[in-house]
Amino acid sequence: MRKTIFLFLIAIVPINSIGQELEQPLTKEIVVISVNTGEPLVGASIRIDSDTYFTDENGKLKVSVETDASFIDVSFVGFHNKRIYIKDLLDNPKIELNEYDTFLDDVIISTGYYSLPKERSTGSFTVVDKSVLNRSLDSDILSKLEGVTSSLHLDRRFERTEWRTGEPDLRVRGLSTINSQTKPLIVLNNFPYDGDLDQINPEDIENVIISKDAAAASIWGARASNGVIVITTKKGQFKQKPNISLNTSLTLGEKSNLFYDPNYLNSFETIEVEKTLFNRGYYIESDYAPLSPVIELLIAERENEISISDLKTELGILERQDVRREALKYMYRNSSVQQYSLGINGGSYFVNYYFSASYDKALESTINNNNNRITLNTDNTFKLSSKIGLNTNISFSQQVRENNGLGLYTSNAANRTFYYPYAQFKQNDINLPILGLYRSKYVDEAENNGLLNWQFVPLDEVGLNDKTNRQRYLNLSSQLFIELLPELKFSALYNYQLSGNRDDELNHDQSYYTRNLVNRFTQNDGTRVFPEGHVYFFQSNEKKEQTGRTQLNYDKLLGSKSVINILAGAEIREVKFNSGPKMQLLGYNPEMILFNNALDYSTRHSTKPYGTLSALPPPPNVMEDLTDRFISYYSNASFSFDRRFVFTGSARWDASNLFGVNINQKGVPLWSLGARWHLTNEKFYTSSFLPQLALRLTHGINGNINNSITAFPAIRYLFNSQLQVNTAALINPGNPNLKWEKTIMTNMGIDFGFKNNRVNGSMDFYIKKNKDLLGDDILDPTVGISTLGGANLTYLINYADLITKGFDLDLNSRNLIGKLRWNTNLIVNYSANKIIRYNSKDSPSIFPYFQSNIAPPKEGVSRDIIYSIPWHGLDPKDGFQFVEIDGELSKDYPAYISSLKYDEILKSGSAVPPLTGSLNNLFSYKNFDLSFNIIWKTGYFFRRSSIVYQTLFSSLIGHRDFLDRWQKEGDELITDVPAFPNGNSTSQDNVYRYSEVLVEKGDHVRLHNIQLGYRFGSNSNNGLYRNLLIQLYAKNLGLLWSANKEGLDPDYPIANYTPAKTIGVGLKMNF
Amino acid sequence: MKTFINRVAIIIILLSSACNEAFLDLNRNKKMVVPNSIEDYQALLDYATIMNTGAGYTLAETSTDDYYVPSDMWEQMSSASAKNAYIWNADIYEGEQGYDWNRAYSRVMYANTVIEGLEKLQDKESQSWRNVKGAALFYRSYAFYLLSTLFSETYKTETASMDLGIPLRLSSDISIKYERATVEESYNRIIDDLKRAALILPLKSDLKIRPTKAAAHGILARCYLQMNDYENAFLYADSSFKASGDLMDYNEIDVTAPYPFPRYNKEVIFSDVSAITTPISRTHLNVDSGLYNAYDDLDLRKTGFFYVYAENLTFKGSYDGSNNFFVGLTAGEMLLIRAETRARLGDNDNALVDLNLLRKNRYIANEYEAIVINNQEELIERILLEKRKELIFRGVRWTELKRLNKDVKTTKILIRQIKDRTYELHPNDKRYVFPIPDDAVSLGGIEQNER
Repeated sequence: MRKTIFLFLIAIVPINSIGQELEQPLTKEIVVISVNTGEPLVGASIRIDSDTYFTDENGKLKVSVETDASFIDVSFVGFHNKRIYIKDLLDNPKIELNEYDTFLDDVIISTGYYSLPKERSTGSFTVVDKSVLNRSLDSDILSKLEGVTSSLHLDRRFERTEWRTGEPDLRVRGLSTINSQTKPLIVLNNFPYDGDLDQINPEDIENVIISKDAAAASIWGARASNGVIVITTKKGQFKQKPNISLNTSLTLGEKSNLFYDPNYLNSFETIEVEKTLFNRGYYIESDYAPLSPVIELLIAERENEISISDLKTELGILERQDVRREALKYMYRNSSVQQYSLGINGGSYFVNYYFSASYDKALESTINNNNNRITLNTDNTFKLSSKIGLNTNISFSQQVRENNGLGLYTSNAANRTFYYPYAQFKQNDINLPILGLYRSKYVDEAENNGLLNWQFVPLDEVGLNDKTNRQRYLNLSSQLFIELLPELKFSALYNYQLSGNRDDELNHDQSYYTRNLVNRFTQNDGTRVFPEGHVYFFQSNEKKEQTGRTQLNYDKLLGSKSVINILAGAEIREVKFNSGPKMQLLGYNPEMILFNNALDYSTRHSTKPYGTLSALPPPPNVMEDLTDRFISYYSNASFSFDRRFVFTGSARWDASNLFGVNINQKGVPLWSLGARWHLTNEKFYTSSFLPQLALRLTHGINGNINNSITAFPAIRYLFNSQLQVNTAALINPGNPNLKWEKTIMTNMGIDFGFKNNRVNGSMDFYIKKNKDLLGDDILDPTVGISTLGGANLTYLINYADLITKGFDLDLNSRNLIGKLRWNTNLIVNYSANKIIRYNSKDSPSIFPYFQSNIAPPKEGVSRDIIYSIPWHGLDPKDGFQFVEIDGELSKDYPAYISSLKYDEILKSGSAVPPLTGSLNNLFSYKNFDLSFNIIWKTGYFFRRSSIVYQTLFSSLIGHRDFLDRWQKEGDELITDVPAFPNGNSTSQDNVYRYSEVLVEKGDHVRLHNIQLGYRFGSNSNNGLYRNLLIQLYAKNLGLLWSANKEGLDPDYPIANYTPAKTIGVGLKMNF
Repeated sequence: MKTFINRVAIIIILLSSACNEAFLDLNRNKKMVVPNSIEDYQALLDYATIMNTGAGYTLAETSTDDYYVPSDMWEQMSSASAKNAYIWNADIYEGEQGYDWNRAYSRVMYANTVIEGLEKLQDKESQSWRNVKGAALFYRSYAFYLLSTLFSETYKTETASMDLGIPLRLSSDISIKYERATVEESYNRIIDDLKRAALILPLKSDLKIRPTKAAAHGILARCYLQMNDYENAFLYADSSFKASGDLMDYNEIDVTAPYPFPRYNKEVIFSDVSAITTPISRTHLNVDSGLYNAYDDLDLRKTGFFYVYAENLTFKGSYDGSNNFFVGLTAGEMLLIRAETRARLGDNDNALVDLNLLRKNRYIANEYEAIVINNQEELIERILLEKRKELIFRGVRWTELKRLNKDVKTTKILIRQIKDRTYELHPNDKRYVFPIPDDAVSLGGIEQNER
């Protein structure tokens, strides 16, 4: 029987010295079996000295015991490694392996400062190892973590559409701050990583550990408030033959689903609206301001330039257009991602190595948007002597993103972020112009008036505005370990990270962007002030991070059952960031790299069409030079007593060069305490039903750095190019009473395992108190604090405390063992927050509670609350929404808005799901394995969009709800959509768009992904490969169930379309 | 091994003491500083985005009788405060922020920060210290003046010590609360500070955004005119005009250009530019036809100030050379204040000379004829008309209406027509004083005006 389930072989190699030699020239047949099932394990790896062998189809292997080695190491994926002394082997050739268990067994937890077996830690960790990560074919680590990581929430509420760089907001155990950094600290191989997670080759990752509570995270002190995500990459092993792995995959995606967008009103209805408005005299007909093609036709008919029947014919043609259809045809394609990755690892007695290279190429769904990534990574460990070790790591990555495409929602030079619904892009192979920045009558005459063609032709623009983003990232680190005494080790670590980013934008001379500028600056006598040629922008920035660390570790075994570990260290860190200036080359000729470098940016010229006096656009005045410095001292101790108790403690002091703060306020002490009780190892504990049981309790304080706190007034310099003087804006009046934000966290956990380890897991309860959260004080504007019109002056105070309570449940079960194996992993997370102190004033205007992405804080209310306006139905007489003023139904919306008080608005619920979960099922039978991932989110709400008449009028962006609007008496019984307004409808729109009827339940169940794998033989003797895995992987498979009946995806409440379904095929080979 | 441990210990100790202040004292952002030099304070006052832009005129200009907005357009407008200000509604803001109030107090915050910072510097006798101090006092007083003209009653000798003025914030400390002073206290503070500023401000500045002695005198002239103190108004207008006093001859300007008047032109004494609201933007603004017809055909301002845009007879004559209204001080305004005060003080001859001096620079050169008026009242009336024509959309009409309403001979009833509804604003109506913004009342407890 062949039974091969997992993908990679793990071998954890001891670096300890080697024992006595044995000389017994013999061969012995051994057999490797599973303790849990009693079945032989096929393809288990047996390492003898530096040679690796594999068991055959019966789990057997003939081993020469005529060797220098004293023991062999046996490993099999999913099982514990075992070391057998050869002398023992002679007596008993049966090797029994215990099945591996993610939650209870000797998982090594790495925090970046130390590594510890999980059973000796007191903190709360989530470990995601490579076998789980390898199940998906995603090219970035975040996507791989989604759905398999407890306590990690990916918040996509604010993702719009055609997103490319936007990573979702990450929350580890909910929110920890209001205005400071919300991103968890990412630690890559012991050092903080500020780069883009996209730049890490996921094939390099050994495991990802999420540190969730104070004991787990507080070793990171002032940066640990939001949780810590520790990423460890693969290493080589000593005395191991080269192991080569090759991965390749191809993933294809559907075209973007433009028809998803509810903010669309068909051409026919839109034209009807325009006709109505036209008759009302809504449009201001100036010579230059743009008017839609429909309005131009209506004007032409009014002026008797065309007949009524011409008008009807023309409008009839437009009515049949659908811009989404056009865009899908000419602007979008099926996306594809190709991935190639090669990894080699191995090692001799003195050196081990890991080397990898990868290349990814993505063609995104918007035509001409491409993305390439190259990564290189080498990791070596040298044993310089028996007491000195050295590890070096060099990794490099380069990512090139081309954003040359033009999608339906991409911003462009003609300010068309959405095209009117009857826009047509192509006819008879000719790319058609659409309305640009000026009236078509004027634009059509441009060439007759000595100007360049001034038309905006969307499909011509594709390829005329080259936007490229290049990111390069280099990471060098070396770590020196010295064993001073058997129990005392010294280490010195140094890390250097250099990341460079460059953005290029080349607007061709034929692009609308350039032609528009040339035309605008063409004088009445025909002189062209704006230089002809391309317009080229580029900007680079660079970030340099250096960290040095020295650390002493003291590890001592006390007797046979107790261990004491103490470490203490100091760290010094500097992060330098500089960007810009953004360069602007006018009159640029890329063939000869010529440009005009002597332009006058201060003389004002008359510009077309309005005659506005304007200087040539000067190069953007942006340049930044930031340096952050940190000094930290830290210490961590753990005492493990009699295998029954573990006590841990940590303390850390951080200081940084915060701006405008007294030196004694720059530092902050942070600490944690923890305990673990292994009930299992108590003599009185004899439960056979629950053979594994441990309790944990931790408490501690973490911090969060906010760079904007200042005790003194702070000003920011700017150069005024018109006046040619340095000017300075007051950005903060200074507050000497500011304190650091703190997170106080208590965690109680229980780890358990039922009989035979069929079910095991852990449950954690936590309370997190975020104290002294910083925020802008709401002040009487008379004091001079204002954000109006460029006066970005705010006053920061410690204005709120937040409390988050929650639990995490992780459950693993082996439902079926034997030939057909079925494992289930269930994750349930609950996290809900509440503001328990808020000492600023309430917002004087009611609208911020609805309008802002996140409502202003309010004591006793969740930070994630959605507020809404109470619904009183539509007036049966005219179809307008009722509002209640002083107990009376009314339709005086301005009066309603100005009299509306906080107490009268509704709390509709949390915008972030408090209760989430995921269910992973993994089946395997013979060489097949199948897994699928289901995610659910419950207990939350989202505000859906609906018709906003004012937006429809001004920009022709409608909404499908328009079709359901109140039109005649009786409609109020079947619809909530107010009638077509008579005049300006801003306040009417606002009262409706924030009303309770538009808040929908977000609860849903999603089929996140499905993976199917087939594994070819693991017999090493056939030469070509050791094992081969073929995977099929499908993702974004949609909602299985959703509480809202609008067909909307609650995770993307404002997106124009949701991520497309993808399907991929992957190949993994080991040699 | 022992020595090795010792060495390691030394390294660690060294690292510990590396926590010296020098390492952590580095400024994290090179662009950001804690201001502590004259240059820093000068740079703050040169921040034209706040100090020379956007304060104090949007409500006033929206409410004047110099223009109208067609009914259809008014109904389509979205900004509540602009809409309400246009029809002199009792409630203006409907929850919107009070732009004029907030912007003016931002200037006060800047000025107070500078004034307090300067006190901590050593070198208080240097010319540059004095100039910056003078400028800060000027900006604060100018902001107080603007706020007084908008949010409190105009100065009336009999009631000034009772009428509610504005909060006179003299400290940047946001924890200090200032109640509304009386009108008298407000004007006293403005006048005293301007006089102190005038003593230390430079006579000339290369930059029109920086206040000069002439600018301080210019605001003093406006103040005294508001107070009907013609002697002082004359003195300061005269001084300001003489110090700056260059008029542009419109014959030398292409008045047909879309924006005929260059920014920072030679008539400008101090540059200040207002934001504009929807009703006073060129898509909505229609110049009052009576006023338009008051411009002589020979008057170059008729073509220089007005043009037709999208069927609107609208305004293009901003001295900022843009769509934004220029609301700063000009030599022309000083000349007209001098003319009016001269006439009011009985110096008709010189008043007439002043009037004709301005007209000569505004009329087509070879067809210009000086006017002759002997009757004092007629002359004043003529000067006031000239002032209205010269200073259209310059931020002064509202204060002029308030001032002239005090004299029964120059009162006016303002009328707006929206479809079949008529709105009237009678002389000395309470609605001539704008309401304090809602948030200043609710958060700061500032006493609201009766409307």
